[in-house]
Amino acid sequence: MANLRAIRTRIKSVENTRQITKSMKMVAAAKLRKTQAAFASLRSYADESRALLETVSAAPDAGGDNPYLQPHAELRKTCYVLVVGNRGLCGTYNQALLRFCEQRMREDGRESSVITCGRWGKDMIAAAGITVDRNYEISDAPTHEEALELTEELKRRYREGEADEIVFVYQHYRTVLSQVPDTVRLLPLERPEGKADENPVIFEPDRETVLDSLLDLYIGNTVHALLLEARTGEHSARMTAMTAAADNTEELIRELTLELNHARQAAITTEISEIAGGAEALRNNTAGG
Amino acid sequence: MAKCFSLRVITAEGTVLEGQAEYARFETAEGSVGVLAGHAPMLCALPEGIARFRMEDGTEKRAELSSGIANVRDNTVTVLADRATLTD
Repeated sequence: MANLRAIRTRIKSVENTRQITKSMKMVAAAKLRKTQAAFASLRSYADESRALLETVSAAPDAGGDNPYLQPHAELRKTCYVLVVGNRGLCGTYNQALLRFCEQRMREDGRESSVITCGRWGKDMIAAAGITVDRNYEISDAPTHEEALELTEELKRRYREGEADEIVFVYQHYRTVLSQVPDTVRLLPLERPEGKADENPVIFEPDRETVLDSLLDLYIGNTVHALLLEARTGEHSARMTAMTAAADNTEELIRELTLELNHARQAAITTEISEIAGGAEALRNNTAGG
Repeated sequence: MAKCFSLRVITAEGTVLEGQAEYARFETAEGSVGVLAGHAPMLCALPEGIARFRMEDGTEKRAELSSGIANVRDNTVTVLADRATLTD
């Protein structure tokens, strides 16, 4: 009988787990939709500014003075921007990224500084021997303001020579089911390839100022897009992990129910055979007496 | 009726304003720039400030912009700014 009760308690607790994993899956799905919508609204803005930038920077002498297009004379210090998740429970999303980052830093072997974006694993990152000199709180659906705040700091570090390159280490989003750790160099910028405008264009106040503003928009957009991509991946990974967990609880509940039925049947059979045995013994007694 | 051009104000959060406009005025570092239909191609760096538009139906609109770019070409004006708040 104790066995029956134990199984029932177990089923109850697995059912609770199923409830929790299911709601977490739903929350992740809702957040995923939110980041995807933000991505969609950023897209037309980013596309327009990129297209403009391409035509403006196509002139051979363009951007001569812009600090973000010029590589530093010597590449000594790298600033890594590690975009970890805000929470765990999303499969290997964070761990895989951390391992990848460690390896990448070892291979580069340069002097480096690290900025993290996300609340996950402060102690895990420290245990991996990575010293974080600044953490940015980036919400689950990164806003443009958050992206710009980070952008300003990155631009400052590059401009003032605190870093000779700025590299993002993040989970590249391929599909809902697949994210791959990847790096993207933000600064110095690759000079965008494009065709110069055939028609004469008036620049107000002048070409360099227009190009500088375009580059500012472009860098901000790139950072925002990278943050959105990383968060989209995080929500997808969590959704996948929680779907798997919820499916596993279903399976477990099925097995436990079967076990419960077995045990109950066994108990009933025992009881019946005891009663039958008792009755038989009683009849034998009366018949004999 | 005055001639119109198509106007779009785009920010990172999406399109804030879209429609036919008669007149647009931007504040640049060197003073105001006015745009009417048929303006020559122009790229205009905009510092933080206010842009004014008169729409096809005669309504006036103001947009508070963060720094950005106005692109005038083929009778279309596209304003790109990180933030834009629309007021009447």
